[in-house]
Amino acid sequence: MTTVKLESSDEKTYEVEKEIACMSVTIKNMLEDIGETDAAIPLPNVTSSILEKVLEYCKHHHEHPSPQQDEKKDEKRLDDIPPYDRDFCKVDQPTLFELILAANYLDIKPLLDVTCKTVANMIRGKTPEEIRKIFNIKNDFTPEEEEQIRKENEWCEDKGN
Amino acid sequence: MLITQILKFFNIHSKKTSNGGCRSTMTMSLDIGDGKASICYSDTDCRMFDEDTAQPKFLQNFEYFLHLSDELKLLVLSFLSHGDLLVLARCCKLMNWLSNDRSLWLGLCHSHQWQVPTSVNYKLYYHDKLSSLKTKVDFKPILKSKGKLPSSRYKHTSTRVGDLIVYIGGQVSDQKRFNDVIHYDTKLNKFTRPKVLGDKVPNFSRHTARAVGNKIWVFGGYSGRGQFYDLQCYDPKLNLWEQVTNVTGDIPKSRTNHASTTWGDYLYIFGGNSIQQGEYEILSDMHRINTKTLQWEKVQFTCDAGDIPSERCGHCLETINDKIYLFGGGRWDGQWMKRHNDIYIFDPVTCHWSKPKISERSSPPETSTFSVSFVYGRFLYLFGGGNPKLNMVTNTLYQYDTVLNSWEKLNYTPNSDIKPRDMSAASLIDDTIFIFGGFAGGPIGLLDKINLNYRPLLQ
Repeated sequence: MTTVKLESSDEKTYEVEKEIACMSVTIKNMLEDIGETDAAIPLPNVTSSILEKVLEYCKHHHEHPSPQQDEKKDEKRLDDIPPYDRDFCKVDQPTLFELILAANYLDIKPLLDVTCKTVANMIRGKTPEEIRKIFNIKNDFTPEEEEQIRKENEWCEDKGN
Repeated sequence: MLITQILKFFNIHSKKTSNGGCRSTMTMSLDIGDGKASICYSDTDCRMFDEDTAQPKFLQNFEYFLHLSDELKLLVLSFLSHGDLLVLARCCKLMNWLSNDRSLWLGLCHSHQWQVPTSVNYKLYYHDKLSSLKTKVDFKPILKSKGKLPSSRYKHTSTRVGDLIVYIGGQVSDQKRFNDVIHYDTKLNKFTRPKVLGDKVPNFSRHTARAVGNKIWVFGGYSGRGQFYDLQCYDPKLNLWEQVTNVTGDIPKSRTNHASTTWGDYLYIFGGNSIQQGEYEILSDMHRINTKTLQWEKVQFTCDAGDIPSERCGHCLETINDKIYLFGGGRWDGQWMKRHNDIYIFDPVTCHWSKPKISERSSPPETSTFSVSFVYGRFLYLFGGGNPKLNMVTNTLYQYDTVLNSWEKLNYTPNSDIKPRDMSAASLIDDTIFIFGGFAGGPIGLLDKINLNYRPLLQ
């Protein structure tokens, strides 16, 4: 079993199975670039607590490969999150934010998709006022603009997927 | 209240730890704003728990969204349905901007496997396509109206001017043809028969009538008794009928069963049948007249002969986004010798005909001759007409998407009792099609309304 060392931004080192580490396309590319090495690969954008979570995720999916991963991969669905991933994303705001950034930086598409889906799920079926509250955003439309935008976008009452 | 919350919080916290959680350092936060307690561990466990069940739960709020890059914001949004995107647009300027991003709407189009050309507004395209397909078309006969319905007839014309539909001529048999002009006010559901001033309205049918501005330009038609007609003009404001004789240029042959459409000030005609010196002819010429200068001109095509529609009658001609679409028709010589269900596109600027490559996902309509056609947004609609294989009249409504070059057969609401027919006449006002008359073994006297139940946004 080949392992690689990864170093978080707060200089904690983790020894990980290569196959698991390579679920990150970024790490995979780095390893291909530098070849065999004993040195830890620095990941300056990822803190140890987040890296641990990411590795936990990768490890789980490495051990439990989902059978029809590639099928319908273009289909953007919100209701197809596997139970493990659902629970995995039940985290606090800063963690979810960091996970999205880490998944993006490390280029782990399934993790990026599932974290972004978790955010998308928060605003699914909500009203504009509810969404403003969820994202803490201010309504910066004038009443005239608001009316205009409402008219432009009133064509769909169907909130279905 | 606050104390209860804190107690609850510690309760959950102790449950959690007794369930095997043994973290070295913990920070605890308590948000009583929405009555929900949450625990945050500073270590790797930062899961959210529901205060009542102590089960992990999803976040309710995500203020960090605004701190994501636009690329990541769009990725989040790419998992939303069109309905959610529309709601999101109403939140603030930033969300409006994001939710209108072309990539999102292209993604939604692709999720339906709709191939979309790059030139269109994907959002409006998505709307029109979705709503036109989702809509169940309502079909309702108008049983009561103010004023009497026109008598049963076919091969009359129906022309819209404002809220008014003007019915002209038609026939109830080969011999008996009409010279009446009937106004139907669609808002008042009222028929009137104005006293027509000016020249005599011919007893005719199988003519065409198209509005340019407020005037209706009538061309062709036959009396059933040897008389063919040329250009005439009717002004429904003044109830004035005029035989237009002061025309110049290359005057087309008198004809019947041709088709016409307008483009700017021009009236275009294509094909039809003519009888000159007893000789029956099926035509394939296109002429246009400038309705301002009254100068006719024979359109010289700039394409290969193979791309030009063959001679035909009983076809449809409609203008959509500066292109003229020709559908169907056939060769009639005592019976249908050949029937078409194809589309040709004519560019009035370059005088070029082309045959679109029909999307592989769509099948051509099972109708060909004497359908009625109308335009809604970028769609060409066909109702009824003769089925080329079964030699039967049909009651199907087809939609041709001029952007995708694909056909869809539309669904009626259940229990719609729609009489099949051809040689009918129809006008569209707002999202309602008014179809009057037609032929199905005999003349029809029904006025039917088809409600499309949506408004196209893409122009």
